[in-house]
Amino acid sequence: MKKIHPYILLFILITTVSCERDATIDIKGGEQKPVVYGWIEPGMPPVVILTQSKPYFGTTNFSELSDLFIHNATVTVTTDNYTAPLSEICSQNVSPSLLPVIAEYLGVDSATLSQVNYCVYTTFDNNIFGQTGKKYFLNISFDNYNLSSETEIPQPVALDSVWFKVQPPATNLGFIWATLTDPPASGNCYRWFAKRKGKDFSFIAPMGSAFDDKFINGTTFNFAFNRGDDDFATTPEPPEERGYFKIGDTVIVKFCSIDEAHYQFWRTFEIQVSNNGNPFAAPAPVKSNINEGLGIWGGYGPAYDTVVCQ
Amino acid sequence: MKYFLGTIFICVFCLQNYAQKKYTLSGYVKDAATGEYMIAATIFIKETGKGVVTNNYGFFSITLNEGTYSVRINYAGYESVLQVVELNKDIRLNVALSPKNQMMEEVVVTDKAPDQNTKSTDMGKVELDMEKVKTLPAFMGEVDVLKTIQLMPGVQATGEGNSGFYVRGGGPDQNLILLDEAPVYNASHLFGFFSVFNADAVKSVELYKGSMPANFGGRLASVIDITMKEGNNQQYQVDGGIGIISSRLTVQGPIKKDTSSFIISGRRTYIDVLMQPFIKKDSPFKGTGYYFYDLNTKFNYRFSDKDRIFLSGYFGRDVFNYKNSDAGFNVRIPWGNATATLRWNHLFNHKLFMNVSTIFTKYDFEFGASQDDFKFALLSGITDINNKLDFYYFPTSRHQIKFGANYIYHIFVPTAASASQGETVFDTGNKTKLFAHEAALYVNDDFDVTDLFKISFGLRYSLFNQVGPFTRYVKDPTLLTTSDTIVYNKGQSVSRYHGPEPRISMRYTLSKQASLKAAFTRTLQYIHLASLSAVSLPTDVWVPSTDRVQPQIGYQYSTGYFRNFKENKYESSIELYYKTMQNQVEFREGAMPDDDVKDNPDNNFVFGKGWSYGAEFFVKKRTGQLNGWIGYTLSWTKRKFVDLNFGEEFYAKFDRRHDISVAIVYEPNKKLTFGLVFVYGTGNAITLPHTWYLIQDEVVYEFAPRNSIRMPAYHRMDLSLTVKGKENKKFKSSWNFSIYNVYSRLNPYFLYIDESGSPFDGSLTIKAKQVSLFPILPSVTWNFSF
Repeated sequence: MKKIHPYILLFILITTVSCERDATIDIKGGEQKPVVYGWIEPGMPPVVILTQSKPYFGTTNFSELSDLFIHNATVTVTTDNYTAPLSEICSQNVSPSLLPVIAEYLGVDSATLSQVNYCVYTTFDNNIFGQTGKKYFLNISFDNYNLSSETEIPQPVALDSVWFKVQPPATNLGFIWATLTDPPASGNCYRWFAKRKGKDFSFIAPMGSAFDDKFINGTTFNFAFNRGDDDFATTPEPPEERGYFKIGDTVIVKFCSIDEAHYQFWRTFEIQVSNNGNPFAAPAPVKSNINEGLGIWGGYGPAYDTVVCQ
Repeated sequence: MKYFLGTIFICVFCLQNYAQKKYTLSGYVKDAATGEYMIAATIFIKETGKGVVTNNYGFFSITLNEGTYSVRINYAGYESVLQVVELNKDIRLNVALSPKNQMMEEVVVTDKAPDQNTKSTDMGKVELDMEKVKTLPAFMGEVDVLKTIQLMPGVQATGEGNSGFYVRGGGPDQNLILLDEAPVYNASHLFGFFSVFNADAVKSVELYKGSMPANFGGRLASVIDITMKEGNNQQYQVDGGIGIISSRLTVQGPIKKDTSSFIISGRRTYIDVLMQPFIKKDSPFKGTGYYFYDLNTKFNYRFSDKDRIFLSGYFGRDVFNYKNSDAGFNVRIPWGNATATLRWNHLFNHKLFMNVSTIFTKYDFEFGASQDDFKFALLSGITDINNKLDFYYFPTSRHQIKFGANYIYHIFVPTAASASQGETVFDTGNKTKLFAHEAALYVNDDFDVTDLFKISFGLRYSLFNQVGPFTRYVKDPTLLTTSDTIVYNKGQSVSRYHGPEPRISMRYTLSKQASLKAAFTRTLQYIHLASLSAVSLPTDVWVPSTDRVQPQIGYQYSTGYFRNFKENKYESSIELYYKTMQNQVEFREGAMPDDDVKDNPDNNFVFGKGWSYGAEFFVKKRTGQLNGWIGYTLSWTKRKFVDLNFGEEFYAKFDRRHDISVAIVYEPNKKLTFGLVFVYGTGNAITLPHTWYLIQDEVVYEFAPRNSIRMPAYHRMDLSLTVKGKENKKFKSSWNFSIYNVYSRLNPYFLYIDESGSPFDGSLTIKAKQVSLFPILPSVTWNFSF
C-alpha cells in the first residue's frame, strides 16, 4: 500500500537547504552475530541462508562477502514430530544449467551466484516440503551457537480481483490494483510480490510490501502497488519507467498470508531501509524471530493472479 | 497541606513583630515617552539602604517608619529620578522615567546602581535588556529573544534545526514559556530557526533556571516570562523592518491619551514568494513552498489608579506545502500557536495588589496528504483554558508576599489520524481527545531576615486529574496486542495526582559586593512531550499524566557565589547545581508514529529517571562602550530506563560537557554598534548503527548502545553592525548587517550511515555521513520608526 510519511516530507524540506559530507567520527564495531534468512512455502523445500553480521564499515569486496557465509552448521526443520536435516549447497558446486532455477527461488540472479560462492541449507526430502496450516520449527547449531525459531504457513487469502490502471499523466505506465476482502477475524498479515513474465527473473516485493489488517479488518477495499526495483537488472531501464508496470507486461501477483512475527520482521525491515538517513525517525531496529540470532524464519501462504497490462 | 499552613503561620507571626508607626509608599513606574509600565525598575531608599523592584505590572510598595526619605528610582537605560518623600501618611508615588539621551551617557553617572546581582535571593535568574538583544547579531536579521536566552550559562542551544532548548539537563518540554502569562507550547518557527516572539512587541524577558518562585509551576526546568508591550499611550508610533526573507511592522498608539492604548505587530516571511519566479509555470512542483507569519496585539484600559485591564493575543502559523503534480501528490503541513489573555489589575490599598487573568492557549500540528483518491490526515495539539488569581502583598519593608491560585483545563489531542480512499474510509480508531484538570495554590514570601540574610520561601500545592471520556487499551504484556479495553465516561476520574512543591532560596551577604546563595526546589510536572525523533520537531506530541504515566518530579539543589567588581561595572557568578528528574518519558525502542493509531500513545512509552549536575561560570560587563558577557558551563546529564539500552544508564542526547557563549557589544560612537556572538558546545550524543548484515541483497543494521556516539562539536561565530541613519524627531532608521557563521563552520545537523553499491559486485561501501545546514550567511535589514 502506498504510505506517505510526515517525516519524509520534513526531511525533503531540510535536505533542500542542507549540505552533506563524510563524517569524521569513530564508530566502535559491535559484536558479530549469526544471521538467518530462511523461508518455506507450500510444495517447496525449506531454504535457510546462514551468514554473520559485520562490525566494520567501509567497502566490501567479493572475498569478504563470501566470508559472511557460515559453513558446516547443523540445520534441521521439524514439523509434526518429523525432523529433516538440511544440507549445505554452494553455488560454485552446482551445475551452471541449474543456476537460473535456483536464482528465481533465492531472489539472487544467476550471474551473482556464479561469481560469489553463495551457500544455502536445503533438502530434497519432500516429507518436509511446505504444507498450508502447518508449523515449522528451525534449529541451527555451530561452534557455540544454538539458534531456534518457528513459523507457520497460514491459509492464503485470495484477492477478489486484480487489474492494471494507467497512472496519469503517463499514457502507458501504471500500477497494479487489487481488491481484498479481509477475513472477519483480526490479525491477518500479508506480503505482496509481483513478477513481470519474461522481464524479472524472480518475484520482487516493492517497498511497503508487508501490511496487516489493523486499519482494514473485515473490510473490502482497493489498494495499489508500484513495481519494486530489480536490483539485479543487467540492462538499465528508462528512468521514467522505474516503479511502473507498462502496457504489454504480463504480471504475476503473488499475494501471501504470513504470520505476525514474520510480518513484524518485514515491516521493521522496510521501515529501516526506507528510514535510513532520516533524522526524524527514531533508530529502527529490525525485529527478528530468531532466538540467539538475527534475521527471519518465515512461512508464506501464497495466492497467485495473472494480469495482462492493457 | 502541612507545609502550606505552616508557611501561612510563619508569615502571620512575622507581621505581628512590628507595632511602630509605619506608612506605605506605593505607586507605578512608567516610561515617560510611551507610558509603558516598567517591570523590575528599582526603588531605592537611601536612608535604609533598602530597595524594592516593580512587579510585572510596574507596581511597587514599601512600608517604612514615619520619616523623610530620599527615594531613587532607577531603570537601565533611563535617567534615574531622585525624589524626597515626607512619609507621614500612606503616599502614592507615580514616576515617569525618561530614556537616557545617548550624548548624556558620556557623563558618568556617579550613583551606584542598586545591585540586583548580589542583593536578591534569585538564583539562576536572568533578565534580558531588549535594547541590548537588538544589537546582537541575528540569524537572517531576525532579532530573537529565545536565541539570546540560549547564550546564558546553563541554557543550551540545540543547534540549527531543533526547536527546543535545554536548561540544566532538562528536556525541551520542561521549559515553561509564557507570553503575557499564556503558555506557548511550541515557541519556534521553521524548526527552531526563528522563535515565535517578535522582538518589536516584546517589553521584557525574564528567565528562571534555578529556583523559580512559587507563583510559577507546571514545569521542572525553567520559566521564561515574556511580557508584551502595552502600546504607547502618549502618541502614535510605527516601527518596522525590511529584511531579506521577512518583514515586520508594528503600530501603536493611544486610544485615549494616558488612559488606554493599543499595539499591533505583525511579521511574515516571503521565502515562498521569492522562490516562485524560480519555479517554472509547468513545473510539477508548482505550489511548493514554506512561510510563517505571526501577529501580536494588545490593548489596555486604565479606569483609575486602582483598576486596569489588559487584553492581549498572539497568533502565529507555519505552513509548508509540497506539491508534485506528476505523482498526483499533495502535502500541506500547517502548525502554530494561538494565545489570548485577559487581565484585570486591582489595587485594594497601598499594600495589596491583585491580578486576575483568564488565558486561552492552543498549539496544533496538522499533516494532510493526498495522492490520487487516497487521503491521509494527522492531527495533534493541546488547548488550555487557564484562570489565575495572583496577589502581591507588601506588609512591611522586610516582606514581599505573593499568593494565589491557578486552575487549568487541558484538552490534549496526542495523535488523531484519518485516511480514506475514494468512498472507503479506513478505520483509524476514534479521534482521541484527552481531558484533564490542573489546579494549584501557592504562597511565596521574600523575607529580609537581617540586613545580611535574606530568604525567599514558597510553597505550591498542585493537583492534576485526568477525566473521561477516555478509552484505555489494555495490552497483553508479551504480545503487545490489545487484551481488554476500559471505557471511562465523561467527567469520570481516570487518574489523580497531587503533591507539595516547596521552594527555598537564601542569600547571605559577605561584603558590599559579594554574596553567597543557595536554593532548593521540588517541582511537579503533569504534562509530557513525547519525541519520537532524534531532533525536536513540531510533530512531537503533548500528553497528560494518565493511569499509566506518572507526573514528572524534579528536585534541584543549587548554590552560588556572586561577586561584583569595579563599582558594579562587572558582575560575576559561579553556580553549582545537582538535579534529579523522576518519571521521564521516552518512546519504546522501535516505536513508529502509526503505533499511536487505535491505541493509547502512552502504551508505547517507557519510563525512567534522569539526573544532571554541573557548574556555571558567568562574567558580565554591564556598561561602557564595550560591554557583554562570557558564560561557561561544565555539566553531565544522564538517563536510566529499565526498558532502554538493556537497563544500563546512558547519556541524554543533549548531554554537553562544555558549553561556551560569548556576547560582546561595542559602541564606539552613537552611530555605530558592533556585535559579536560566539558559541561552542560538545556534540550531541546520538544512536547510530555499528554492525550490518545482509538479508537478500539489502543491508540491515544493528544499532550501537543508546546515545553512545558523539557528533562533532558545534561552534560558530556571528558578527553584526548596526548603523544609525540621520535622526530627527519624526523619523529614525538604521541598517543592520549581520553575518551568521562567519568562518562557515559546517556544524553537524545529523549523522547517518550511508551505503552505496551492491554487495554482489564487490562495490558495497558503508560510511558515516554528516549533514550540515548553514554555511556563512550574510543578511541585511533596514529598520525604521516614526
